[in-house]
Amino acid sequence: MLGVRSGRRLSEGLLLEESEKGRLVVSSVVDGSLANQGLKEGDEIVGATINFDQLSKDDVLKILKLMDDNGFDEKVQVLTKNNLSKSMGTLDSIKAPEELASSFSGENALPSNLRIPSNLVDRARAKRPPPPSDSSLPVLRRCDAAIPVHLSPVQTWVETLERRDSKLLGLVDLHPDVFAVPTRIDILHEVELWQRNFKRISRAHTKVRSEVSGGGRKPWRQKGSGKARHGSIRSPIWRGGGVSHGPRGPTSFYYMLPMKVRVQGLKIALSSKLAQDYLHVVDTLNIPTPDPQYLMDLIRYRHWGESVLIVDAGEELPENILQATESLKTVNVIPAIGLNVHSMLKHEVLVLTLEAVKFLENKLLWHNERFTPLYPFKLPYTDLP
Amino acid sequence: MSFTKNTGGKALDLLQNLPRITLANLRPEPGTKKAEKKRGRGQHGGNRSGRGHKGERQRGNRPRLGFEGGQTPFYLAIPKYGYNEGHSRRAQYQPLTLNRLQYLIDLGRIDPTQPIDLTQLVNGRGVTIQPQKRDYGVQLVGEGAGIFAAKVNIEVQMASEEAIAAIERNGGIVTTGFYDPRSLAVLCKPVPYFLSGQPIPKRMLPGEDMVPYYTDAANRGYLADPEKIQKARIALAQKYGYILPDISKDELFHMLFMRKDPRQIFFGLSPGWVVNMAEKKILKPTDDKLLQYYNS
Repeated sequence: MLGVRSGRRLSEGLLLEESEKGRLVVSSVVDGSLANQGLKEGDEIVGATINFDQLSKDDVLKILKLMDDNGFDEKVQVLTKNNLSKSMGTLDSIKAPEELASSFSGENALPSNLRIPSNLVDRARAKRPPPPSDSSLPVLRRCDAAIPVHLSPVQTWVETLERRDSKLLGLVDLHPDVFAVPTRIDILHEVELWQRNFKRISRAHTKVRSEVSGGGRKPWRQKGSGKARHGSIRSPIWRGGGVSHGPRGPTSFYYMLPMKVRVQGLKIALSSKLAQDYLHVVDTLNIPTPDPQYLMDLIRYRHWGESVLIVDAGEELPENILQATESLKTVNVIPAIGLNVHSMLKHEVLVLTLEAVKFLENKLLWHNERFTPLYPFKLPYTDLP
Repeated sequence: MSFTKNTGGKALDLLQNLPRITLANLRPEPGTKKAEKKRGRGQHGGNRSGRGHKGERQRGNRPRLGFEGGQTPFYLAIPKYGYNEGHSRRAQYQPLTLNRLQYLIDLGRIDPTQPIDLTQLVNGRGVTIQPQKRDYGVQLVGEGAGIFAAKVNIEVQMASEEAIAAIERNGGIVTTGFYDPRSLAVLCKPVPYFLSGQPIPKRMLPGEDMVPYYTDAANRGYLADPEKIQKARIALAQKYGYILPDISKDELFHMLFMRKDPRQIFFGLSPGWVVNMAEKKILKPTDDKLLQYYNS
């Protein structure tokens, strides 16, 4: 696949000609710059990818007008930046970042010294067609809480699990203070470490020289025996002796991160899932069969990903989905109270129901406007909700 | 849509082109985690491990802190004097400036149309009182007297003259009242106390040293004579040069003149009553001895 890296050089060194069948053929090649492109006389040019980033506005308009005039609509596919990122595996991805940006010139520009290896690109997701952008879908849910004046809600599609093929039911408004917060990987790191360590009790325990059985008597006299002087057979220098500075007894690694840091971690995880297109909203969790194969088919058909975390609001989950996910290792269902950063990062895809979205927004936004606790929040407060 | 955008903004746009955030991608902010320095490792850190050469230093046998080689140490040479004697037993009063009070009223955290009590101040997170740390309440401090412009009925534990003048100038009422530590704990955190199921205690009278303070009209003490308080109000107005507004013709007159009984902790609740928060009921004692005790 050609990448038009320097258009001028290509046009200077190539002479194109129309053959009898109406195809575009290379008639002659000038030596030098094109030798490494691998083109030779008689090569037929089947297709070209034009990257508009390096072209000026006039050139782009000229090209688009040409295509429009000549009726190229069926044979031309216009890719936006979004699609480009997903189909990066098809382009020369190792060298793509250089072409795409020069130090944050565009909106979605990547830094020029970034190297993204091609094996991190999921080719299956790249095949997923983007949903139609102009179709008028109804907004099924608006945000309950007031949105700050300077922000606007984020939107995403609502799907259904009842049929295998993806049919969009509508749109849903998501509160920006929960689903579009600035990404802070260090907060996610802190919360993940806390989740791992606060429950940890290390039961490693070694005996000190006084605890090891025996060793009260001096083994041999101090002087005259020709041996080194010792006071006990269980001193740390001895084989079988006690450990001087070993682990002592069950140690607890319990600590609590401030409540607001943990809440922020959840918000950041949700926002990053939404931003990277790994969040799906579903109306309910009712599936037609308790067959796990149905869920796997659905996930594979819709190119969601390898592992899916499904979240519902209440404790009572539909039986079908419970049965279906029981035997599956990579697809799990949890109530919304059980949502945590570790699970969200472990699973590739997060699926929320509309009630779960409402529950999460309610719970996570409360922390933005609450007083400090005088006594634990579990006890009744008249002024706080 | 130039100004309505989201705070995540550019970062979330960048995220679309970056690899998925997973457990393997997390890292702390560079510079936050400094590696722990372990003693006795490495070519230069080993050998004597930073302990020096021979002697008490290397062998870990240095004398105690403050020892000066035999010379009478500083901490023994200076004679004792009771500057800090009993400091941990002295009563402390958390200051509340008029600036802060005005700020709280302006933000709506304190309601000036109801009597302002220590409970209201704590509920609005205006002050933090620790009854267990010898705090005896709140003292009203005159800083911000120039800008204070709210008509309030406030009850504190101590008040400076300037503060009293500033509040009365605006047509309010100040009272100083004493709360013993147990009553103060109940006053600051009423909900956990009611949930414990104990009856509301009666407020104890101040100790010998504080009785003169609370019976003095100049301090607007709750045990002082009301007529003397009225005279003191007029005298203070003359001293600070403002016209004392007539409160009896005020529309909030009834609220401004609400005062607690010397044995009462909460407005509307008497000592001896038990508040049941779960069923929203109040239980009152009927036994004679209990009634006698709580009414004394």
